[in-house]
Amino acid sequence: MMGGENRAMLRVTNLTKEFPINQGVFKKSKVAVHAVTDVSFEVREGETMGLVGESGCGKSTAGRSVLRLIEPTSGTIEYKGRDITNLPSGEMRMLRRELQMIFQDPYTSLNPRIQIGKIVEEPMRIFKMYDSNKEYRDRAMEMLSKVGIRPDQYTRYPHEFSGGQRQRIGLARTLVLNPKMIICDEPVSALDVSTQSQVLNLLAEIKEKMGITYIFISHNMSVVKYVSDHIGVMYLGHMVEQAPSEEMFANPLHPYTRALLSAVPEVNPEVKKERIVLPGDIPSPINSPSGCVFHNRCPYATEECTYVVPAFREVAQGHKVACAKAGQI
Amino acid sequence: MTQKEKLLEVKDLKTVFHTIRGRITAVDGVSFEVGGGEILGIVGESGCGKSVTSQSILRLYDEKKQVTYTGQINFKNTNLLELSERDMQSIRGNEIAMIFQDALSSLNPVFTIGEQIAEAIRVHNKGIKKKQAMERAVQLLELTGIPAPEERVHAYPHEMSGGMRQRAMIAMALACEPKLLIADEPTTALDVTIQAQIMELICELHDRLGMGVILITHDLGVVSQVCTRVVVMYLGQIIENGPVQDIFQRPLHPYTAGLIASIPTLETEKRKKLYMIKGSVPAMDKAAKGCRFYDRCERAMDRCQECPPPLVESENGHCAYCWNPNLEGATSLRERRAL
Repeated sequence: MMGGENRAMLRVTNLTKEFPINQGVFKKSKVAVHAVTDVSFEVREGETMGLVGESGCGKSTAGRSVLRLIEPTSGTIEYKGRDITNLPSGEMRMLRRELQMIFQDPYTSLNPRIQIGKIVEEPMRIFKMYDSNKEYRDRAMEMLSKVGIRPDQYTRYPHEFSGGQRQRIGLARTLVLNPKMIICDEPVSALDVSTQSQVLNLLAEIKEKMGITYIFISHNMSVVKYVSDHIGVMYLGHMVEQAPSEEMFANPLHPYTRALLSAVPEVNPEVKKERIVLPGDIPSPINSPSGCVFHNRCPYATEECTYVVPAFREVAQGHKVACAKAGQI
Repeated sequence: MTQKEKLLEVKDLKTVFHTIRGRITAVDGVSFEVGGGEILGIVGESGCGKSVTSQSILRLYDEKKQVTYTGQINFKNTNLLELSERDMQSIRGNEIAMIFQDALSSLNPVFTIGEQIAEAIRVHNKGIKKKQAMERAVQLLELTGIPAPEERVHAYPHEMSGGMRQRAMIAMALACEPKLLIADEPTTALDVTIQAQIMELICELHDRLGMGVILITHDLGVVSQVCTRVVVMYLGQIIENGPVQDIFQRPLHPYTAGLIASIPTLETEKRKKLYMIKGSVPAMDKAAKGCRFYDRCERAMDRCQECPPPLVESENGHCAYCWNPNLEGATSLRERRAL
């Protein structure tokens, strides 16, 4: 690694987000969905941080909280050493020029009534980046061709494109602002296999050319492994394990990470994996289990796990895990 | 061996939809077989016709307005396409059952799971009493591994998680002990750990009850782990068919090879460029006249554009439709084994 050159671009500390559920006559909230609980991570400049976990684990909420599309309940978010947790919305807006996001569903994240060229121009116009219409147009065309959409398709509408192409248009829309960091929320999950690899290659190419830092949110272990330098595994709103990518896959410590890895189907019929099939379902984030959130599905859980919340401790260089028995199992 | 026994044979099946914009041949001359104790995988990208194929087997589309089927679907020596709607009804659920991708929208939200399973049982066994049917529903839920089935039988679909609903769907499909189970993307809407549970369940039931399974999916990983034979489809046609080992280790058709190569796996080296199949799946009417994969194919030759590709056969019943199949992979691997 590059050592000192890589400073933390984004530091998230003890991020918590609760969504209160209003009940009763006076809409007094008694219970809350604990979407993200006490999550901390760092993203260094030029690196890709992968957040992985199953549905409802809070990975998307964590990603959106970074952009403050969702206001965190508590915790701090520092961007380039500056605390942006309580930044006034006007300033936050200006900051979003550097912090951008692409979404999972390329069908609903583009306005169906607007030509794709205008969609790509819009963010530039919001930030009043240029003076003439021609400049906007040229820049939009340049970016479209960069992501592999022919500039002569500028006046087409989103429905005329396939899923992969729409994801490219969404990417062009963020890239015109020259962002420093892009949060990719399941960018390839809705795509077919043959287009998925095209979009993944495009993301890698753009990262290399433009030096962009990614937070890559996905439920697909293989994809996360392929793109990420660092990986955080989330379960029910908690970060259960965090490590550099190679370390995570060579030496997974948390029983949940192990189960997740073993559940990834191998694309080779001769390798039959020993699968760890977890019992039961993911519990509801409204009444999450006491102690370790994973204890009711964990094959190694002891009595202690049911009431002691495991510390998120560092067990090796950069490898953190929230399991009392990590290293012994 | 009973394993080899032919359960279902689809011969030159064509499914033509009549739409306002004209006729669309969604399935164009598809032929394959399913053996009694076999799990056959049908894979392909969205729009390749894999779901239409499976739904055509049960003739689920409205034949009065919507669709015309041609070809043969032979199940136990009868051609399903020649049966009357009434006779077809006794095949559906009884002999061939189906589970769908989205369990929530396939279940009725205003009835309990137990009532819905009992309904399926009573439709096919007229004599059975409601109470007996409910008891059977509890047994079926237990068979699919739902904890506390006596209580769960009274639960509504919204009270269950995605994995549980899919188990309930499977229980319903098993109600009449079908000979063939068609599973249309049964785990696509589920998380990986739940997907592992459901696939395990399907394999276990396949072993225990000895039914044939057709598994329709876009996930090559699932196919490689579960299926015994694989059919690969592209734009309404079968392009390759063979035993799972042969398909994954020495694919003949460039499309199959491309699909396998373009998936990042846990072994893929980081940052190494992934293999890409150029372009995207064209509209059915925009594809080349000869081979439909022509525009996207790396190995395409001039004649691929005009002439439909011939059938190429390799060993173990492994075959593909291609003018320029990758036969070197096969030979070189064989040579390496010989050494």
